[in-house]
Amino acid sequence: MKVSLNWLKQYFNENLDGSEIEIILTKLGLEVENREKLDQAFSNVVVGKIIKLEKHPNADKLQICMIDIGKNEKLQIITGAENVFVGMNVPVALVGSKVVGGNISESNLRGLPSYGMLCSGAELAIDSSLLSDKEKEGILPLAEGLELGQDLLEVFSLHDEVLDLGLTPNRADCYGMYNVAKEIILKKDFTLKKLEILKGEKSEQSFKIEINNENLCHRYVARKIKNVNIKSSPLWFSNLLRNVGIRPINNIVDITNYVMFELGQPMHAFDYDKLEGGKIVVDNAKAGEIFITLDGKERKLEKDMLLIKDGLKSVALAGVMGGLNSEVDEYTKNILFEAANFNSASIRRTSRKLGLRSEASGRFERGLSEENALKAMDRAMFLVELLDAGEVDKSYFESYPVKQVIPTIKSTVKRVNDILGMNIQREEIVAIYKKLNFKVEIDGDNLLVTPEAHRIDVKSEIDLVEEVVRIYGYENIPATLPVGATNTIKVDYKIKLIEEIKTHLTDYGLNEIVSYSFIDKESYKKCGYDFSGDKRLKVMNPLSENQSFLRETLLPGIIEIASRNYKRQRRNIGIFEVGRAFKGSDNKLPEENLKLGIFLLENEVKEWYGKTKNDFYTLKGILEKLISAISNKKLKFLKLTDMNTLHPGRAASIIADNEIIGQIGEIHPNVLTEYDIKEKAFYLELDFKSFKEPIVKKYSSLPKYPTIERDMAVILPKDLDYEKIYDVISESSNKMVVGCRIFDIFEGSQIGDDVKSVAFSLTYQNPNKTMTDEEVSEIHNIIVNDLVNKLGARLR
Amino acid sequence: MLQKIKSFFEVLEADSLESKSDVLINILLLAENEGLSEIDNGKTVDELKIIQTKYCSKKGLLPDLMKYMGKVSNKDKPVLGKIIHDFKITLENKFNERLTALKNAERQAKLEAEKIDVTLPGCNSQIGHKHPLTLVEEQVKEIFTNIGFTVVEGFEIEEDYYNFERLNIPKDHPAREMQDTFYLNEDVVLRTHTSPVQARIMDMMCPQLPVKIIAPGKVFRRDDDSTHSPMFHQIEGLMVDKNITFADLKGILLHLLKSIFGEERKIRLRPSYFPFTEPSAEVDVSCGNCNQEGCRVCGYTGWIEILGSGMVHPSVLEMAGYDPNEVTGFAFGIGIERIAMLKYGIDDMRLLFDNDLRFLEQF
Ligand SMILES: [Zn+2]
Repeated sequence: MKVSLNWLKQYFNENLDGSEIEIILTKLGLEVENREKLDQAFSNVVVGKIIKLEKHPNADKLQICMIDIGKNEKLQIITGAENVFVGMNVPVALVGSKVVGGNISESNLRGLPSYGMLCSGAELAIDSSLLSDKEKEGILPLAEGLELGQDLLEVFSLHDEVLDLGLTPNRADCYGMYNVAKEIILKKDFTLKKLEILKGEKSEQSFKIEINNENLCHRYVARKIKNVNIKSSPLWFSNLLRNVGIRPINNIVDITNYVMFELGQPMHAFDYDKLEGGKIVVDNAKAGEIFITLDGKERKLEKDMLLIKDGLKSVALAGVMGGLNSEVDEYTKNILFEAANFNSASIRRTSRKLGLRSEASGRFERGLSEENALKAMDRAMFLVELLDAGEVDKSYFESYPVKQVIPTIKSTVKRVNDILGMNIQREEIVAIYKKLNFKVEIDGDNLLVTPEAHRIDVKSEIDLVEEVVRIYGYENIPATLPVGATNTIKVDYKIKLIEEIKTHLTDYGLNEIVSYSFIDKESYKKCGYDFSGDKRLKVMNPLSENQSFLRETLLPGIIEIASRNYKRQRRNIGIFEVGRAFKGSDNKLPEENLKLGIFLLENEVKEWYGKTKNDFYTLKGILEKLISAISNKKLKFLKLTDMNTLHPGRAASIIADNEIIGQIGEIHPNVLTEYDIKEKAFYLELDFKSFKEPIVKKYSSLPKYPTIERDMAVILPKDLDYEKIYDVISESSNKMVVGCRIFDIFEGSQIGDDVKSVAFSLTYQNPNKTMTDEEVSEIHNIIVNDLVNKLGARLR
Repeated sequence: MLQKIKSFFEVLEADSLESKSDVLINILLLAENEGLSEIDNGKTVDELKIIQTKYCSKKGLLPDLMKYMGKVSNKDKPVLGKIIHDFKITLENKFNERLTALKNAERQAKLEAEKIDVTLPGCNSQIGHKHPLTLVEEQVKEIFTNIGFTVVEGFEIEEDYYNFERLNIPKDHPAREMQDTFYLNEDVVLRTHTSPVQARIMDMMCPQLPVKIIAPGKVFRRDDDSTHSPMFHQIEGLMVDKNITFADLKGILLHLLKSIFGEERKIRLRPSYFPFTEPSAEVDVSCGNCNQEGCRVCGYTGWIEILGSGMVHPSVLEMAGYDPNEVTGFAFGIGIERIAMLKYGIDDMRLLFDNDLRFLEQF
């Protein structure tokens, strides 16, 4: 909402300072998003009249203008514009002036001197939305009768400041500048002038107003103007509108816009003579009804949309836009003004559905006081007379089936102070209500407060508390710390877990990333997931297609970021993300699962101490470290060969407590190709669904007897997994082996194809006594025999 | 040398050693000097061991000398004993001294030979970095857990009912326009704020008091430009109890913001509107990027809006089952991105989601 200082000044005798007003409004909760001085865009531009036009002898497209700029001064200016004519008033940027695009100096155009420049609207920083089509054509035509030589800043009243207010929904009343003025006097000891109005008598004769849907229209006021004189508004009036961003059109339309900006009440003007049947009917549209709005467009209506009809036809889409069939035009003789109160939700739905949003519909959407309608009508009638726009009918027509209920709110001084934590005296509170022009009645400890009609946001005691503190000043509230009982809400283990995971992984050298929770359908495919759209969680109204699906895995987001860094020549990429992934469910809400994804690029580099690179086992090591740091879980790994995401020979499901908790593996080369990553990369994803706070481990006593190490080297089938070897060792050793460390794996033609040599070091220990060499040998031999018999091993 | 000693004893008369001891001592002194210089010339521990053998072993000079003990009279025995003992001590001390010196020198030489370039970088010293959003979130959590708040989490995908209706935002409420919402279906939204946690936790707790939580998490709005991201992070705070006041809210927020930004930052509360709090306050922090001169970060206002807050609206308490006449509360929602940007001087929000490692490694 734009607020002009010139406009506001009309309501006060006192002068206003822009920066002070900004501070006052901010303190009152009317956020000032921007404050702009309008006289900065140009300088030294004056009104001139073209008194002679000649073709330039050396250029087809140029004309030589002789311009009268008053005080017997004439200038030769050469222009390339085509819309100039003798007698036209034009903006003249004098030599030494500033306009949009630069400073103007004396120039020579094809051999002839030019002493200035004729300006277009754009060169004067006039927004094109404020110009009519004719005004946009070239040089901005100025009104006839202007004093030649007058500074254009004055002509357009641009010595003004405009505040852009970001109004909160509760303060829709401040879409009327008069109500903004009411706010200013809450903090400033100014006297607010009463608005001049022209009251009428209520009449029910000769014209009837019928409201058929009282829920959607609480009040409808209409008043007739005879013998209208449609013309441009006086400059002072149209300047006010232009400065708040409204294009002046003609006096009648300008008056409706002016009142809308002054009181927040949208109005509409019908050509009275185009209305038939002698009445106005407010009623729902018929489903599928076609209606042509003012902009000439056909609109297909729905049953819940509200229409204004005359006795025979629909004439306006209530609160949204008028109809072409009742439009005011240059032949209009009589006018019917409308000021009504329409249901905000209905207007919102209608304007949304039709894609038609305007200053008027915006105001209706936010809600208006019913009392405002007549007030606005009376004010508009005053302006009609002021601008000499026609003869105002003595009477007005009205239907007001649902009267505004202005509540009388009971409040106590104690309650106000209890909520605020302050000790404001009763007199002070009463004074605040009085400043607000709220009625106050004192009833023992109670204050009975009745707000002003336009403050429809003040409905209950808490609203009064807010008013008190808003005007008392937030800066005057003390800062205290609450006292009270101890909090008994327990911390969720998962929340601690997240922090721990992040701490461990960054300790291991990985960087944390944060990616979007929504991803592209394509990225599922790129990552090798089977995409079946109907099962996926899709956002109904995504910002773009590539942000339309909720992630079920973290991989697409992570690999995208890895790829982005890879393209920046980065090779040391070890990243992780902890976050939620989603899955459709039969419940109302989808499943939200806490997941961890880790991406590791191979990154083979020579360091001064040797070559380093990451592989499957680097990532597996990270996983094993992490899991033993955060839980008591024992991990198992099951080969995973049927995935398109991971390398079929280098991937595994991660299993804990007989449950799959994730996957780990080398990323499938196809996937890496999709992301332009030209070296190996590894990924794991863990789901923390099954993670619970680990049970505190009890201490077990330290072993009393020494350990003995023995090495063993066996030749085994090449495809035999380590896990199987380990299983045999643990079974055969009768719990006397407490450690098994592989120190060499060798494959080569020396030992034969299809076999590998595995060397490991076993640690023996008997919890009850010191083992003798013979005892160790005995078990060692059993293990060897079992490896031979069960796994086909042979000794090296 | 041995010959000289032999001659000395050959001519020695009985009981006369005492008077002739000077001669023997002089002979031995010569031997001693010879020995000492040999020891001094010993270059290694091994050489020294050979010298030691020469003087002290069974075939060495000292045992030789001892042989003459039997040849002197009983009266002279202690005299000879003392001479031999002195001779032995002198040599032994010298040996030990020299041995220690040589050992030290050898160790020193070994250490010298073992020297390395200590300025070479360490192995695998790379450490990872938490995302700046995490760092801020963890800091805020710590500030609040230190004063007795519990961290909880809500759903990122919420029912319209909790995201809006329970927060006093029925359908058709104009405030729904303040937040452009992503819908999964008519009743399910990507939460537009962390505030639904308020309703969820109060449902869980009612009628117990106090409710004292903060709830961090992701939120989503249909907005994407240089200052808005369709996904961002908030921390919700809620305290409900008897006698909670607006002044308490101000105190808590001051504590929070000064803990994060330091005492020198200015803080401004101004009236605002949220359907689920009343009175409501928007909280601004003075721009540290430009010292309030005005810059891109603060939109040339000198202030940066970082959180919305207020007293829990009576109807929100009532919907949760609390009697708003008995119980009051405050709530606030902090924008983590904003705080991170302010705290670290980040001038473009998109950096936080681009995840350029060169950026992330700075934290
Ligand atoms: Zn700044």
